[in-house]
Amino acid sequence: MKDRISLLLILSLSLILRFWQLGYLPAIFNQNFFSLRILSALLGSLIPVLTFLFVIKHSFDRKTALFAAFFMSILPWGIVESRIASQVNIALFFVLLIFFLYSISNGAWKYISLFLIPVAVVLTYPDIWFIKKLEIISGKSFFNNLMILTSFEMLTSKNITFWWGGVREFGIIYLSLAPLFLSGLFHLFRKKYSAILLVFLLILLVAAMSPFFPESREFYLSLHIFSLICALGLRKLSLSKNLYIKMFVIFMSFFIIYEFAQFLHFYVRHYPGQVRENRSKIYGTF
Amino acid sequence: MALFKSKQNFFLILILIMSLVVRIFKVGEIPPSLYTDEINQGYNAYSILQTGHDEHGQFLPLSLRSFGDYKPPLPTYLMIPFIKIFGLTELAVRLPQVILGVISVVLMFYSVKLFWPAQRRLALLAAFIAAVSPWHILESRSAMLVMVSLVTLQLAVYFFLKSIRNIKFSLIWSAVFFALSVYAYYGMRLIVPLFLLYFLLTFRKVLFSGQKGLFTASVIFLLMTLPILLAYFKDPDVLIGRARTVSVFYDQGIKLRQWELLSQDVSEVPGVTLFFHNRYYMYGRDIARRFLSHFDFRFLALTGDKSPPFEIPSMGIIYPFEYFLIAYGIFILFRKKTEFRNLLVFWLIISVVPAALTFMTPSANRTFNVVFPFIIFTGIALAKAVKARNKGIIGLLVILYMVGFAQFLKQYFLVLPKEHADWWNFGLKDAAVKVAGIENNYSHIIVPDLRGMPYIYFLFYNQYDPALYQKEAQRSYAADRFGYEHVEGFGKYLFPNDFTWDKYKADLWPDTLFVVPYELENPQLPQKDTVYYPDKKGAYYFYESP
Repeated sequence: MKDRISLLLILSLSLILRFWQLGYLPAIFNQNFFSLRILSALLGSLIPVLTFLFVIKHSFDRKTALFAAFFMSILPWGIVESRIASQVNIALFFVLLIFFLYSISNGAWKYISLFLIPVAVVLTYPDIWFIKKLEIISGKSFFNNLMILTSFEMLTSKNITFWWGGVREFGIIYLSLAPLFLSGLFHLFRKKYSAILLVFLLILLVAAMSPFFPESREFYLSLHIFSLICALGLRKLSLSKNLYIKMFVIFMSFFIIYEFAQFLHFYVRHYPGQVRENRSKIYGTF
Repeated sequence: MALFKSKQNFFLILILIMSLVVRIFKVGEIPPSLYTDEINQGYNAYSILQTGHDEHGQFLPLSLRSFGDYKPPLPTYLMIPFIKIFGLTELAVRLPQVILGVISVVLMFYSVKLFWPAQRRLALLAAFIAAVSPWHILESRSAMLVMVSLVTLQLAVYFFLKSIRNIKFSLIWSAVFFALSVYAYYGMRLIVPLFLLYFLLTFRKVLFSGQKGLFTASVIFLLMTLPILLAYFKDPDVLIGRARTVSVFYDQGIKLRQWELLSQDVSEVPGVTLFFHNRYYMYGRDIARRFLSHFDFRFLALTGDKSPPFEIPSMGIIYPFEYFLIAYGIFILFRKKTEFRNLLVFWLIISVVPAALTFMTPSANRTFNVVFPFIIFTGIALAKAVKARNKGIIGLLVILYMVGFAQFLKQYFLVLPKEHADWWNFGLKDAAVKVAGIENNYSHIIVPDLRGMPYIYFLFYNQYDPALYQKEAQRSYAADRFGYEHVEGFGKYLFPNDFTWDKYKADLWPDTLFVVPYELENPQLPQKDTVYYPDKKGAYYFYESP
């Protein structure tokens, strides 16, 4: 019961963060995309719930799943993509939904579900690079892109995969989540969750191969994995009996809230100006 | 022969011989020139040896004022006996680092044996990794201060841990080396107090049991560091030095960004805007970003430090595959909760903190102390592979090390001196030597101070009398925007840092020799002589006044 209430609260938070002043923040340039924004916001609000189910189905405990859902609802990139007409956000929703169906299916339906995942991506995300422009980049460019996507700077300071339309001043996760991320990564490798790591690797490679890099929003499809890793890290640290670690977790919690407030302030106050100044450079669905 | 009876000793000696050979081979010629900081230390060591005073006339300085960057003194004082024996040469300047580099390799071995006495294989592997480490070799072959600080820190920690194991007088030795560390490098003035705090908290029960000589060691540490602490009150730069001008707080970027954001928030309640756009958060975020940049794969494994002279052409400071070995070593360490895990992690983090507080990041030189935990982590991963006795993996690692090391040798010993001699201020030595042979023909010799503080090269290679120089030096002590103080001239030498041909018209300077870097080539004047880079491009041009 407590978990359901928590999940409901997380869903409410997601809805507020994604629907408040939708269409004004950021300003919409083409009213034809407004309905797509509503769809993106709605599905984006449900992604945390699907993240919860995703985590549960990977044999993590419910607290970890709740933490993952919470992080998914407040991560900057998740909020940014949910408030615009984002194909990749919609694609992520369907990927997680189909994965959930896969996890509750039996027999042939399981394999059909697996097959449906790439189909869903292609159908909902026609701007994905290998549909938009199938081009093989050089090995050097690919390697360079890979290094950028896996850098600490990309993780915590500067998300450059959404060139002019996105909030680049924040990384994929908040800086305050970095210790949790490292802790979660350690435990993920320790428990050898190879399936999750393989999926992440696949998304990473696809994103790095994009000829439109740094415009590589394909990497967004791994955001739930980042949420999971941070959640796992938080869970493991909170279970520690060490007083210093407990104090550290409490301190980091306050810092996470502060950073979240920072992001909201930036998003509400400064980001619209950035969008206005770069309007001519923003293209595609927005 | 008893030494060789033990297989472990045999391999250790082999590793040490290899370390010595790779560090001492042509150390006077590769890197292709003494860098400004090296040559400054060398000349100051010579000056102290001859006169007891540094180039500024300071008697036995606790801090070498140098170019206004106040270099910590220990590396310079260590050069004095070598200059006495070998003369004022490149070898004398760099030889202390070579010896310390080899000592560091030995200390890797004995430190691991101290941490984990049963892990002899790991100890040998750590020594081997240090012996072939590009980063370690780079710093062993140049006098850039940090090898001294690494060795003093290694010794300080080694003896401290020995004292925990009840080895007599070890705590005193630890105190001595911690104190010496403070005189070795700036970063140590932050690192040492933090290390002491860490040890006090972690080993408080043992230390305060009354049996370790804590009081004696503390007194020795305080007495040894007292001079520099007292000197701080007279002149804060003695303790802080250039740290002020390279710190993130000196850089205007954050302040400008804060101003920009506050301007955009002009309609908001002031308290609210400051809650979000305050310098604590902005600097904190910037420092965290700079801290994390030192663990970037591209920095460590591909490009290294892009600031000359800490760059190895087309290479990082660790081998690319070592990045993953380090990660795996950390993973093993945490999974097994081994003893000294916390110390190694602490060492790793603390080593990067001083560099993260500067605006020139990522930095290989300032974070050099991190090489110790990096090597240990790499060794742990390698030891695991060896223990698994998987011939495929062992074979692969052997090949990777062979290829990596061969690549490093090629880039460092062949490519660097030939194609990147300019990184090391090449040309000033030859220019100084050539000028020395003809200086009597001129009443003035003008050498523009475009880069590299040329005055110090002319002092060094002409073995200019330090007592004379201390009287003759013309300097205003006005710092430039980077905090450096320039020398305007001495004797008949002038080193203007605002040189242009319009300002210094050759016909207004009779009997003058101009020695200019290639950027100031003057096709209108006949060239008297040229100093070339190894790749045959012009480095310095000599012109006579008409």
